[in-house]
Amino acid sequence: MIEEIVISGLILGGLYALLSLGFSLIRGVARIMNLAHGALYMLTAYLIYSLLYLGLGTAIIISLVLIVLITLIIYKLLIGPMREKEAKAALVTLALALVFQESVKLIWGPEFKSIPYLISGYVTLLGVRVVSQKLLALVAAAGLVLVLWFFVMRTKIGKGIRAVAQNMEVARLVGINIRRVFMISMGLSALLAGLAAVFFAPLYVVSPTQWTILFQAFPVIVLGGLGSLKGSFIASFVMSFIEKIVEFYVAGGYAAGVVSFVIMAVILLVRPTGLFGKSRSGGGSGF
Amino acid sequence: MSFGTYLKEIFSSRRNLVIVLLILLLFIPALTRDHYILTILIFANIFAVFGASWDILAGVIGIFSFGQAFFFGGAGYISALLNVELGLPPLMTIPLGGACGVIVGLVFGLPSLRLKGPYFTIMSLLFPTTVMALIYMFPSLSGGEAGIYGLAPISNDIAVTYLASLFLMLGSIFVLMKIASSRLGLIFRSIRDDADTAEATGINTTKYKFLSFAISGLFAGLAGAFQAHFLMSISPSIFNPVNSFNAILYAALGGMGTIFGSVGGAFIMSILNEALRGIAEFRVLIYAIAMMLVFRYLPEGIFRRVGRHFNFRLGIWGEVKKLRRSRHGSNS
Amino acid sequence: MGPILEVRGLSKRFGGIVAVNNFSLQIDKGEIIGLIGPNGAGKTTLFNLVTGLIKPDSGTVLFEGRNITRLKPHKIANLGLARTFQNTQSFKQMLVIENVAIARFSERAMSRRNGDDDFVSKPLEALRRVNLVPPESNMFMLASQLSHGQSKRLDVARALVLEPDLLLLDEPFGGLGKIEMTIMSSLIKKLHDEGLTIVIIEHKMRALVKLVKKLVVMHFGENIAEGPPLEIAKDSKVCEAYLGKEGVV
Repeated sequence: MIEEIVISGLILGGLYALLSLGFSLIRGVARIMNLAHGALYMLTAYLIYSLLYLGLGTAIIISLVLIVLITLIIYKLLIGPMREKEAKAALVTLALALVFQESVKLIWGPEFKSIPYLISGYVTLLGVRVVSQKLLALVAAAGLVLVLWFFVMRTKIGKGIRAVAQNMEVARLVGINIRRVFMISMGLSALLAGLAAVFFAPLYVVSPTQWTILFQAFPVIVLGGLGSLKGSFIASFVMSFIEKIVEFYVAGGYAAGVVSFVIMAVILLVRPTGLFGKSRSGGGSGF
Repeated sequence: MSFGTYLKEIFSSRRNLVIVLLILLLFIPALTRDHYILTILIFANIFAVFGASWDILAGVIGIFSFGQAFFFGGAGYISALLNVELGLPPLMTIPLGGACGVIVGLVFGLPSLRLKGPYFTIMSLLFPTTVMALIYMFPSLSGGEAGIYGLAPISNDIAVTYLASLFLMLGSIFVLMKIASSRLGLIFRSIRDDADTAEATGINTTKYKFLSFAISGLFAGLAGAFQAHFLMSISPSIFNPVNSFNAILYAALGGMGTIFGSVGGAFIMSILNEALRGIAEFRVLIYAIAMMLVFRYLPEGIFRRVGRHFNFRLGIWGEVKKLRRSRHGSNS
Repeated sequence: MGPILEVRGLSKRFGGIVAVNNFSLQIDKGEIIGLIGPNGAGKTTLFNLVTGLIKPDSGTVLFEGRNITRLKPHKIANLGLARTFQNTQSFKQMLVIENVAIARFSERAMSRRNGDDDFVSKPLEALRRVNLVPPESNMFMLASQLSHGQSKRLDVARALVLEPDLLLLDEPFGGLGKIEMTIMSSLIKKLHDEGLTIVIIEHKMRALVKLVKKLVVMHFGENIAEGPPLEIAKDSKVCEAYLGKEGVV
């Protein structure tokens, strides 16, 4: 069914977009690959789950606050001090993701859980019945991207973020508080992951290995291009649709992953900088 | 002299220490035939080679791969197929697995032509997961979820298997260290420190990068093929990303760039693994916390301090010393 | 015997910025030339284009008559075109001697062995030539322990082991004090006297002018003037470039 493909493609694309945006934000600003980004998404879902007795709205707010706090603490203790060593920092975040995975498994058990929809029921759009939550998720994703765009492009803090992302040394010279920019970016990134969980996690299962969805989003990041947020956004939907199409027409969910991998490889051969990457001059050392 | 002084003398030189350790390792089967203990040691040897194969790539030439399981599992599967389908004995399939590891390594290295550092690392993660998916997709060829079993063992006597694994480990570590401290290692390290300058100095960095991929693939492949025959089976779970992270853990724990650090890292982790078996649910958590702490607080690895004097810059040191000696000789 | 280096109509843009704009230049063997221009004029980019680190959008580069435009940097280096970088790009974690010995493993140096089978004599010789003496004590130091001036000379030593026919120096005097500048200056002069063709990017005019016979001025990626230093100083386009329309020398 075409409608199913379109809807599920849009949903998955929206999730990829939010995740890759959050990941790229930190990568572009602090030059750190936060491999635990998916774990933040997962953890938020679990926090919401365990705070449900307070009512969904309260649970969501508290969970978001908590996840941002946790992320900032982690940044202060673990990631921040390792900022210079990009590679080792990435490994730390990887270990961190595993810590989250196991802790979650121990605290809440390995069985799949689920968190409730924010709005129930159906809506009929263009003669198609769409689950309201899905529509909400899409609208939320689009809204978040727009808000983020506005924030980064128009506000003073946003300009600071962009400056640091482009050239840290010059930004420092111009008097921008680099530390603060890092913290804000980290918090924003966590917030993005958390909000993604609020809207999208109800549509999927909540499980201790949910954080690996970040790896699923990697082809999006690579395909989208070096440092291009617009590229990530478009690539999110390109990849999600390819995956959904393959999933529907070829049996088995594994094929989707393989096909997206192959397609990514082919596109990279033709355009090494991804769909919208800008080619930079020269380069530094290997990693 | 007294026995105490004698002991002190033996342990004073690092070289002697290593020799003592080697002798100990060799004679373990004489001390115990305990299946359990020997199994742990065999795995430690396999993992040591696995970790070292990552180390030569990341620690020496500076290419961080998150997909080491790709070589390990790939060569393992090929070995398994050669053994089960064609009936080749382990003595042949393991080296052949290593050889296939070379090819696998070169394939793995292809994206590095297009992708810079971190992006290559991200991509490398996807190689093993894609192979895993392919295996599920074509179960008739690959044994699917159940994997391939019924492989010929390396030996019916576990002590012999242990010695074989020891031989594999010592041989691999020796060769890798030779490479790392040779002129080739020097070129590798220059690429790690600054690939652009190396290029501008007339070094064909692409050629050497591919060479390092081939070397890494060779040894990871040998380890993978060995493990397949030791377990007498192989399944798609071998491509699990966690296995790739294990390789990184062994190497990083011991000290990136030292090669021999992986031996220490692998042995420590193997022992820890077994020691914590009683609290199985906490095992992975403790292990992940350990990983986190090591990377954060011990980025140099445990054996790096020790290894610093070992002087990896043996590449041309020997020749320099010769010159020095000859000059001093002519001066006197 | 044509010019040793010919740049024809080289252009490169990065996004919206034109870094090098239809740049042409001819350098004869044995010349020593200074490449100057205001900051951001595209000088280092030009070096990067010529040495193959970046690919140009259009134009050609001929080295000793050979088209090297699309060649990889190591191939160009092996043809005899060496360069140093603006930020001293030594292999910081390696020893001084290793830094220089790396060049000894390039194809070019390997093919010109002349029978010496060890890989240390030529690097040691290079270290001596750039005055990083005594080599025996200096060479076992980590490259990161050298002073700034020594680092700069280390880069030159590395380039020398390649036995280049053309040497491109990117701000060799950058950040150097008076004494170190004198050492570097006499090194460059000595190399030129020995027959090496040299192109120098520099901002320190006084030191540069003492060394070179010809200046090439780059502005907004273009070649706006070429000639002996005295003429260039009087050239109105050059003054405009440096001082703006109101400025007068």
